[in-house]
Amino acid sequence: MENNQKVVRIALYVSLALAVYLIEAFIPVPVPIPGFKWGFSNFVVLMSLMALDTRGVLWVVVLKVLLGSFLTGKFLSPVFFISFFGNVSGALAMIAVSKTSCFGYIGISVIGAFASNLAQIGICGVWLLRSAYIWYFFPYIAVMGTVSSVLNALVAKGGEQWFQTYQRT
Amino acid sequence: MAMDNRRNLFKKISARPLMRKNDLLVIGGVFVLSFALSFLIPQHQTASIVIVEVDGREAYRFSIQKDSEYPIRGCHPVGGTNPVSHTLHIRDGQVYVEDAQCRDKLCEKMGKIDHPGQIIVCVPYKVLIRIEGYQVNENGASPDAVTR
Ligand SMILES: [Zn+2]
Repeated sequence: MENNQKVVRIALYVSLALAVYLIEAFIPVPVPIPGFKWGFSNFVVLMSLMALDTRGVLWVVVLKVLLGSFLTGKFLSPVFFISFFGNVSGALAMIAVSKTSCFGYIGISVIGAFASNLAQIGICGVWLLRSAYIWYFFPYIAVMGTVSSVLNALVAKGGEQWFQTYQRT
Repeated sequence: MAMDNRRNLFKKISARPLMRKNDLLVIGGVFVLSFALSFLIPQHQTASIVIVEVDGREAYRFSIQKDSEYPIRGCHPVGGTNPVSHTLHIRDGQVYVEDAQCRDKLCEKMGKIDHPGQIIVCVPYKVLIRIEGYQVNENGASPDAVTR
């Protein structure tokens, strides 16, 4: 892809992800676990994964978390670290499995959510709370993450087709 | 030149299907693992002690049988001496926190816990409250009562 086009793409994905990220703050989560959200903005990461190279995807994810935390006033708070490490781990896992052709959008998305949840609970257990008892929450968020990541895959695939027709005209 | 690149891009996009068979294995794996993990939580124990960990260390230990309120000093978020961050309530075998000093008050929203293994956490103050129990034996006798 041409460099300009790539920058435009990244900006587009970041702004789309941010919009969803901010709207998501108003969607209730069934279990009140610190820093855990449905993660609906991940469909954008999934889309960027299909259109950009590794560096491009990481830019999208890092900018999403940084700008999102600035806008919600959570920069450098515990929730920020949970979110940052979760998002980056999820993206790295998705980048890794998307190098093979073993999985469809759904598989990649579910693996990404799972890796992100592992990192979130891990960072809580090892660093923020320093207690292994936090793993009590893991089954809940793993199931929650799977549900939302299947939805994200559907939206990403649909959104991509829309982008495709939009760009041709 | 740019057009050609764009065509290639679209080709790449449409190459991957929404779902492959492996995806079902992944979803199944996550559900099985979550289900298995939830069995690690003790099922047949009677709640007996409320333990409050602050920054990973056990800081308080209360009997769940005694209805009372206790001030909890969590870790100060920006350093300095630990302020009273929560009030722990124990009432009718149920445990919950009020007067949380954190901004999001998620710990209050976690509600009441009453089973061994259940937890309440406050990440900003590094507080984790858990219930420990004991195994109920055949003749229903309980081990030594826990005080304070
Ligand atoms: Zn709290």
